[in-house]
Amino acid sequence: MREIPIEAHPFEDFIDGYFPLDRSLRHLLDRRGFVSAWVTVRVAPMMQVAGLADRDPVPLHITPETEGQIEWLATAIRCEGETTSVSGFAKWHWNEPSRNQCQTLSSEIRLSEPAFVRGFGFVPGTLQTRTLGAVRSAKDTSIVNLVSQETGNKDFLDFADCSFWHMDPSNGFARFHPKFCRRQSESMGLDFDERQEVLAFRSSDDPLDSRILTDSHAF
Amino acid sequence: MISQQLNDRITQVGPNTPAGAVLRCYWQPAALLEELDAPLPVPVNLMGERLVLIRNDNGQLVLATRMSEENEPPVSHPATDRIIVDVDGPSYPIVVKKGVVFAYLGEGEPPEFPNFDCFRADDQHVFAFKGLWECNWLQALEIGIDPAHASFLHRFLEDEDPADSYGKQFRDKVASTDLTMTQVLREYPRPEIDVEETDYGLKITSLRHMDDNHTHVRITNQIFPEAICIPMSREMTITQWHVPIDDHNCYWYTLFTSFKDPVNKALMREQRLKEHDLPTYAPKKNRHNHYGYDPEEQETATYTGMGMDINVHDQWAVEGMGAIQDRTREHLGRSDKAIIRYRRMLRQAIDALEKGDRSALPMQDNLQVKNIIGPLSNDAVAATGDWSAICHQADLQRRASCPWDASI
Repeated sequence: MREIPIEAHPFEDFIDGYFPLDRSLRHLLDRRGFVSAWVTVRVAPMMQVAGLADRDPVPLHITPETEGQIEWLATAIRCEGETTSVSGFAKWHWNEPSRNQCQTLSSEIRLSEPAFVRGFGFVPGTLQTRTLGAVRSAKDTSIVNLVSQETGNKDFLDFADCSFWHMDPSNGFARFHPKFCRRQSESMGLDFDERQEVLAFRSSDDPLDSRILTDSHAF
Repeated sequence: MISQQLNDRITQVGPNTPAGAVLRCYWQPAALLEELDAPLPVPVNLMGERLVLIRNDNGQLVLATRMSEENEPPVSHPATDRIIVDVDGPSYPIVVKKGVVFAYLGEGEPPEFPNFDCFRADDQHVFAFKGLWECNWLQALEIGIDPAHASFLHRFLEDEDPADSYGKQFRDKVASTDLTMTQVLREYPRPEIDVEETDYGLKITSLRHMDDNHTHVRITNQIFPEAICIPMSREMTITQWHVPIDDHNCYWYTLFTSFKDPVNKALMREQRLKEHDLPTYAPKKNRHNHYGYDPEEQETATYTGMGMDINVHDQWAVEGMGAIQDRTREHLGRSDKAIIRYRRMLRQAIDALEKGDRSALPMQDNLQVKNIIGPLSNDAVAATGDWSAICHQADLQRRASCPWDASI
């Protein structure tokens, strides 16, 4: 029975607003020397202005129809060279009700103001993952563990009080559904397809770890 | 920048508003005890409601509703014989603490008071005062949790003799050094800011790294939902609420708390009455007289040219934004960390309360709230690598020699 523990560095930080969100998250990785990270955002106002090119500055003035709010967002972000990829989950709303039917949120939306974030960062290593890139595995146990078809027997998940995140390494944020995160291993069955990986978070008594897990579970 | 819709959501506090519901979960300063020296009933304008302090049939002091005209000015203070109690309107419980009449305008049971230093200190060691600002409560609060602004807005080009500093902010020496606060703020204007969420709100640490491998550490606090606790001098702290009168006006209520000698209340009141008019506690310097702006003073003595009272500087800055700051045009930056985290807390609290989860708000668990003490609030200078321990030690030393029980 084994899991693959990943060396995880808990952090609290601020990301800039105004830039496309994936770029602000990329700045966070670069600043901290991470190759990838699990990042949570809560109650953050956001904007999406029609016709605003990637490198354009935000307008000086925001209007209600361009604004929404991320109620909760949890995402894995990884960088490979100049490429930045995110795969995550979110709950959000736009002020304009017709926009709320969409089940995905672009990673290029912009936060309307800088945001406080919490998460775990991962440093470069030799453990190849689809969700987090090539990261360093932990020598002993870790709060963050990788589960995939390649990691072996599916019944190794014998630890209790854990949350399991089904990651689909495609770009953007999916509107959260309970199937994406399960809290108990025995009931989940781990029926993921070949594309998917599962990130398993153990519970922790460490205050910072706990705050990150609280935000992660605040869906 | 946020939309008008979201700005309304976090600034409006009348009955049945989201932010108003959050503020109503806490005891709110409603009047100074000294206002009750006048004959009852005493008018109160609080959170968009027209109220009056009266004694009920049991002889208890309560905050009742009073009749008012639609066009009554926000800070109206009608004469006693013109006040009519609205017997059909709500009536709220009050508690008097340290010279302030606190009222609870919310539903259900009011929370306990935390054991903050300002509430634990002997009455002789606490002085209360208030002042009017003609702007929304949120911008008044936000300036108080911005540690960078003091280096600019409150920049004094000359340092005063600390011996003359009693009752004034930023004029004292820093800890055991010969540096004055004004000098530190002036010479090190770019603090490194760290913000930590606590069980009462936010602990804000500002580090000003000095030239000689020493660091000036200033610990201030945001006390949820709309108060701050900051150091005033080596001897005193300021605990200050920004209490909405309505959406366009607010009062600051301050408890000045001394860790050393009893407060010279007569002197502190006299200092402040020179700057304020009764019975509304409106500042004598205001937009109508350009806050006393003097270009010559600005050239030689202060950054603003608006005198030595830093309250006037803050008043000008927050009133200058307009009655309610237009946040559709603001651009917060890195030094606004505490504001960013505070708004996150406020938005979270609003969302939680709308879902019926009051327990998610800070200081609502009565078993825990009595155990909240402090908060740590001081200035210290320490070797750069050792600042955290030195700051804590300085706080413990001050508490150990305090004549009232300030132990933590």
